[in-house]
Amino acid sequence: MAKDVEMMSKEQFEEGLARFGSRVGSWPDHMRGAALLFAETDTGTRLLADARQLGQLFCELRYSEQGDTATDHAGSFMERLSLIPETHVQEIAGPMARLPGLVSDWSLSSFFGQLFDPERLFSARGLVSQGAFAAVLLVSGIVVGLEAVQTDLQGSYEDYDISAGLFGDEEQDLSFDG
Amino acid sequence: MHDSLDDSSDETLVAKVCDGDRKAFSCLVGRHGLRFRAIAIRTCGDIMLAEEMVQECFVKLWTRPQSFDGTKAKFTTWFHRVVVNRCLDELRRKKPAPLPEGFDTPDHRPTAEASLEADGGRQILMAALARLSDRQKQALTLSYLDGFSNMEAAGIMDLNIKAYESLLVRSRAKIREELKAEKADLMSAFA
Repeated sequence: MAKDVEMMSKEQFEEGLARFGSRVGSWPDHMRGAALLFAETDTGTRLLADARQLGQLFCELRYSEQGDTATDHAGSFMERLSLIPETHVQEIAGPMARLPGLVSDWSLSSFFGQLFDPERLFSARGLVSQGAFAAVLLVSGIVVGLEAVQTDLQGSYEDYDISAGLFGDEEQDLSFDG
Repeated sequence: MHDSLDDSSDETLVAKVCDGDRKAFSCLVGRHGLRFRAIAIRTCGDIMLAEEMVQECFVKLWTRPQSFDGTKAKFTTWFHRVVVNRCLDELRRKKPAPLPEGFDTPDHRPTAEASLEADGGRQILMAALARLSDRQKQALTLSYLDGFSNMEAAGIMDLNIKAYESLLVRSRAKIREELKAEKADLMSAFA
């Protein structure tokens, strides 16, 4: 160890313990020398012993918690969690809020893929695809319908009015005897 | 299909949950259910309450998965904060009204003999942890029980890394004192 290494302060040593643990030999190079020097002092030895004991206690607690999980009713808890999708409905605000994002990363090929993909039939993207498809169909229906009406209006309504011939001509004799 | 879910990151699974994917949700439950249950038990000190809180958080994850923003944090970091905050809120809500001044509060902590009988080290540590502030306790459990890196733990506690490490140093010093006090109690019980 180089002789010009300066011993670190107690505060720096405690900070190092919190950051790198109690194995001072594996601390970063620029701190290790100063830390090893401090570790040889009474305070350093005591702090290291305390840190190791604390580490050991936490380790025991961690293992005992794992043991508890194996023996208590954690299984039924996990079962309850896995049933959540069966008992709770996802909020519709979610997919609608994500609509701009959904639309932006769409491509035409994926549009039809999502539209008829059975696995995504009720997913947000699937539903939006189906909605968009239905809207396009509806609009095309309305446009075609309007076109037809316009064409029909150009002809005479008399074509369809079966009584027009009866009242249109005043000179027509309507008596039974002619 | 299921294999690919097992290989997916938590963040990918949450994105699938947003699309109503139940298998992705089951996968998240399998990965993290017990872990967050243990964290909640430690925070609440009561298994039933802890399970209730974690279940509530998983219900929110299913019904409103879009609350998670994968660009801001890892799923575990975000969900840890959700679970712990929910537990702390519930504990604060259930905290009894303060007793009149001068009222002598009974000490509910386990006696030294009971602690030693149960299982020495664990009980001593739990008792010492219980005497720390919420933030000190959270810092120690994040780093030494839940296995988060200091950087992740700082994110969970919404602190910068320097502030978190200072908190960790203070928490370690405090628990050392508390452990000594607990041990002194034990020694006096034997004397």
